[in-house]
Amino acid sequence: MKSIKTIITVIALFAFLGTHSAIAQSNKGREKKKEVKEKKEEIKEKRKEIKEEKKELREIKKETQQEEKEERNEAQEHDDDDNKNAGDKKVKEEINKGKAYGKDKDGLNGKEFGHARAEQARNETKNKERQLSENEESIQKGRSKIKEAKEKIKKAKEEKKISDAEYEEKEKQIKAAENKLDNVEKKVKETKEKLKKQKEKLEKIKKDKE
Amino acid sequence: MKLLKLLVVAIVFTTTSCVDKKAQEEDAKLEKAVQEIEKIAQDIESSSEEISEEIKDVEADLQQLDSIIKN
Repeated sequence: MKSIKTIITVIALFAFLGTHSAIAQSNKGREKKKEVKEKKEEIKEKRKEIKEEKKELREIKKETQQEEKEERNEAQEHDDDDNKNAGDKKVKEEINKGKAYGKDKDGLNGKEFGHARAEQARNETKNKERQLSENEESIQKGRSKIKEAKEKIKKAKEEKKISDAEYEEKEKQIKAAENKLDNVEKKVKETKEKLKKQKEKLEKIKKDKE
Repeated sequence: MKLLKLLVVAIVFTTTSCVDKKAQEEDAKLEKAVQEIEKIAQDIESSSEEISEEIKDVEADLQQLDSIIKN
């Protein structure tokens, strides 16, 4: 009987020691996690700063481009300018909405916060998908315009309404627009791939939550 | 009886710590996944900003094409 008691005591002691060491290990792990989190936050802030700088540079570039465009477009009058500007504003607003990404942490624990951020990303993904489909429509319109312009100059050349030099100049313009469209289309495709990847990851998180 | 109580307490402690550890692991896993998603989202955002700018540029070129078509 005595030996049984001794064995039970030893087992109980081992269990206690094991628990304490496990708790100590988990505490160490928490501290490390905290450090990693702080470092990540620092990196995030730096990224934000870099992003803002990039944005400023882009704005300067945009302004310069716009000035050039205005000069070019002075001779031309277009009725759909207002609609286009409204569209641009919408796109900008949507982009700006994404800047507050994952900031609201008040009153949420780690898991809830993670899922809230995932939900935010899900909404953002939907917005981007809409934006991309609008871009695709613009590209499609551009393609048909290019086709039409090509046919027009070809016909004009055949009917000798324009000289060879004029034809070449206009063809160059068309080619330049076509190249730009190709680049944009490529980027849209790449972004669509990224969105697809993003959606898959979000789906996985949703499944895990369920 | 005392020993039995001690044993029960020890088991409860061990189980609690195990559950806590598992929850922490799950949190870390979720955090990692969300961070990956946020990284991709940033990437997508910068790409779409670039696309918007390029689309504007292309639209300016297309306006020039309009004049070619009209003339």
